Amino acid sequence: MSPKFIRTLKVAAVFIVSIVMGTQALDASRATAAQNRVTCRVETDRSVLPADDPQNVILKITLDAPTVPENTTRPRVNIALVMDHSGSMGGTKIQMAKAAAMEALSRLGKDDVFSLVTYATDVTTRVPAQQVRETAAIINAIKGIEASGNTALFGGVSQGAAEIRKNIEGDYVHRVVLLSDGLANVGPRNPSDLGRLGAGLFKENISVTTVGVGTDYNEDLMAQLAQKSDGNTYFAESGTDLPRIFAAELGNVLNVVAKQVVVTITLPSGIEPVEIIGREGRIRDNHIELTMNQLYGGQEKFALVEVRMPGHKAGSVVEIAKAEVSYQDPFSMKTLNSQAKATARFSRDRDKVAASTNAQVIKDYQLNLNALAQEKAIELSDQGKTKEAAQELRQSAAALKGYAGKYNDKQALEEARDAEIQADMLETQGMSKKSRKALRTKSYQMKNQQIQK
Amino acid sequence: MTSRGAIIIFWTLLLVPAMVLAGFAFRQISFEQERLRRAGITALEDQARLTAQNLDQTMASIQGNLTRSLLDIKANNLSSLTLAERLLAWEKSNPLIRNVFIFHPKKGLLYPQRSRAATREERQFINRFNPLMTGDLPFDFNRPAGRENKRAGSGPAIPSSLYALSRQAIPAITEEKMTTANAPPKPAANQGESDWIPWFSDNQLYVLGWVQPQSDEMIYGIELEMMVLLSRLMTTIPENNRSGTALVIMNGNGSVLHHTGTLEFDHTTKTQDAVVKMDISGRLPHWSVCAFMDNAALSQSNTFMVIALILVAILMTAIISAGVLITRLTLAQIKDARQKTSFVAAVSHELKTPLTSIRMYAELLLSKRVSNPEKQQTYLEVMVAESERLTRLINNVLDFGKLEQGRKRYRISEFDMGQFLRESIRTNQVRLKKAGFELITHVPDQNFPVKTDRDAMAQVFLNLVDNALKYAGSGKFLKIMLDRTPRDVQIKIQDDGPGIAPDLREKIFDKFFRADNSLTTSKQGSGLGLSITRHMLRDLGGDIVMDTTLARGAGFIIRIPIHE
Repeated sequence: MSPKFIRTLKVAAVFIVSIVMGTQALDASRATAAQNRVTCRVETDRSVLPADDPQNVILKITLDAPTVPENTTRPRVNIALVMDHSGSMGGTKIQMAKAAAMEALSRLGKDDVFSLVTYATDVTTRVPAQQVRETAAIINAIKGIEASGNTALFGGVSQGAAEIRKNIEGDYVHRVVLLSDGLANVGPRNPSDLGRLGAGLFKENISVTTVGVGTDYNEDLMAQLAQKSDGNTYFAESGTDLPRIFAAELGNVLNVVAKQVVVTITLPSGIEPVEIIGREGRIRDNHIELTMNQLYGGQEKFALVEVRMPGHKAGSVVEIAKAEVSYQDPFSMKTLNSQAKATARFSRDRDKVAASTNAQVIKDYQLNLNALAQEKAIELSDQGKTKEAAQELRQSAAALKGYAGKYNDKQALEEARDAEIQADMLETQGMSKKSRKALRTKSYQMKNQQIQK
Repeated sequence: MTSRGAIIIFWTLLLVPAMVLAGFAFRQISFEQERLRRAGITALEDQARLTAQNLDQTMASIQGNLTRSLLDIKANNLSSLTLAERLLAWEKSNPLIRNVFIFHPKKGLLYPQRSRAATREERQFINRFNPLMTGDLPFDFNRPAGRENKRAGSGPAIPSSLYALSRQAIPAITEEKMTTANAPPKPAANQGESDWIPWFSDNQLYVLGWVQPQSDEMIYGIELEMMVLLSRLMTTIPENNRSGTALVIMNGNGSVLHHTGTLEFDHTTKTQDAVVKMDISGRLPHWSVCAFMDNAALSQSNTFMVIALILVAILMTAIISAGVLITRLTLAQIKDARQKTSFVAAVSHELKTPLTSIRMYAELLLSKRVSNPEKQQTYLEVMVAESERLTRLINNVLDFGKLEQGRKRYRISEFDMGQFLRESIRTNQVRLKKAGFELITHVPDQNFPVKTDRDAMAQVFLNLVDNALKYAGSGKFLKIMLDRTPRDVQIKIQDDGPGIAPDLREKIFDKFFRADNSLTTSKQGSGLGLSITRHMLRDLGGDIVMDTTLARGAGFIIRIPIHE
């Protein structure tokens, strides 16, 4: 071996070592990134199940979104504000809506994209999609809005979506914020039609957040649109709440840590899915698939699924469900995964079974049932069956109370009392526009774990 | 007569064409207004047609692309499960797809499964398209009958032609377009069958697209997400900026899907109120692009109409008033000319009469056949009197000329009217007595100071006395009275002759006017006397009017301002 060759070998060795070390460093950074991942948990209402008999089990799949580290630059936002300026918005409402729009604008950064669409009889694009550089012109456009005309809600949302689409390829969090106080009377106006539009927009990664003002808007329509596109929905009885709501919504949007969230629950053979509670999803054979569009920093979102278990012998340990979450990280635009599984032991000891109860799962289950009861009550009261509607609410309240008594839970008790008050009001005064909206919004927020501020 | 004829000709030549022209202009303006309206409607119609064509084309290209993608899956080698996976993945990512399905002509519906249909949406989908999904209705039910044999055994025959009729078929061209124009050329064997079915359920339009790569094999396809499609289509429709109009897309129920334009209307309005209605095509059956127009949208052309009419009216007024003016001037000139002719004749006659007397007496005296000195004296007196008459006449004519041209000069002096009147009466006393008039005078013995032209006053008095002598010859008396009012001195001269007809009482003061205007009249005169009298008096601040209070005879009142 010549010295020259040894020297070459040395250089090569140093080179290889440096590469290896570099990779290790990379691995280390990946490890820190992993801490910021969305994690997934699968829980059951009881970790120890009674043996031998077939039974129904509640599964709770929880997604824990990490908080966004302070020094991280947040993902860019592509927001389209769609504002109703029909005649009914006149006065305080339009003033507050304008203030809210400016509030929203003030929270955006220079790289965010903003557009403003207003609709009455016609749809007008006041501010075409643009980066928030020159705010003076945008503010002028907002100030120029005046209330008059009909309500072309569908057209407004369509145009808002069209403005979003201009930057759909960019790495933005896409969001349409719809503000309306009235019934759509130009264009499609069925809640289900708007729901289909929302479902379509969802596929394009566009969420629609709906803000209803006053007591004359169609809350079913607004809830459907938000539900199918996985946006948020708000009820602002008076215009004065608007700036606060916009601030909250913007806070959420600016804090998105996961997009296009898909939860797939796989059940081992023998365990059959029964029902998805409070969310829409697809059950195929032993797979349950749920989609959620966006997770906000520090938020906990969950899905509840009821499954049917066959009987097992005492002492056996069985895997109940596997859950996999895949989502897009808005910072890196990469698709990330996270898994979890749940197992259960079987026992004939009743005390053991009782002791293994997961109070939180039961509470969430009860609250979701309560939300469903609220929807059912709305439906019944719409059909004129006020008594049945009140009955529905009372039953739900009783169940909640039972839970609250058992686990000494103040929140559940409060919800139960609320439900009773609603039932009383329903019996004495019927369903008022306002309480219908409050119920609809509340049940929506519960089912979708919308962050309340 | 010729001048009257000329006037008639003038009117027929000027006014009639003017009227005709105005009528024509009016008609043209109303045509123009209608034309503007039509133009507006035509523009709207063009816009509506363009919109409808655009929508149809967009729809065609969307359907074409989706069909191609469906065929590209190449389902031949795939099991129904894998195909379902692929289709579902596609549905999840493509906003234009609402549902997917796989149907086998023999095995029936493979996906979504009726029993384990995972979502409510899929259950609704199956219910919606139940006749197709159960195989009761073949997928190519809306094809023309001629193509049926190609697909023999694909299912039972169409249960009822009414069923097919209730679903408006896509024209046969659709398929041609899709397979030849849009799809890349492929071997005929791989091309397969494909079609789009517009489907009405609960009065709502749904669109189903299907492909069948090989006959008697799996049919699979998609349901279009109509709301997303509509939402996409809408944003491609250009804004309608025409004021007072609205471009509206309506579905078969008459509900508004999209509205652009400033015109707002009650959206329960039915399509028959639309000025334009364009059906989009068989791809979107019963959908139409309608244009609405506000009557107020025509207000602009209304202003135009009003302005045009005002212009026409002004023109007409100008023409007519000019015509009237010209006619009046012509008539006045004709009258003037006639009066001048009679004036010249009268004056010539007047001049001739005294001249004949003077000449006759002068020749008699010259022949020396008159030896009687008394007779000679009489003849000479007659000659002097006649010359005086001639002088007065010529003075009148000269005065008239001066007055007409405004060149008459007055010599103003202060004098007493009472004294002046007494002198004048004395001068004319003999003449009046000779004519058989009894002279009644009433001249108070007080001061009537005036400041005026004495000669003019003398001429006025003389003219009036001459008139009385001429026209009141049958009368018995002549009254001359002097009086005063706070401002004026008044002289009244009355006779009891035949008087003047009431309708001529003002006309007698017109120049050349004579109450009896024939050359053969027994009365001499030029028709200037009263005209000159009034002219002069008015020049001097006074006036002369007829005394209308008298029962018979003629009376004049002369007013002259008092000078104190």
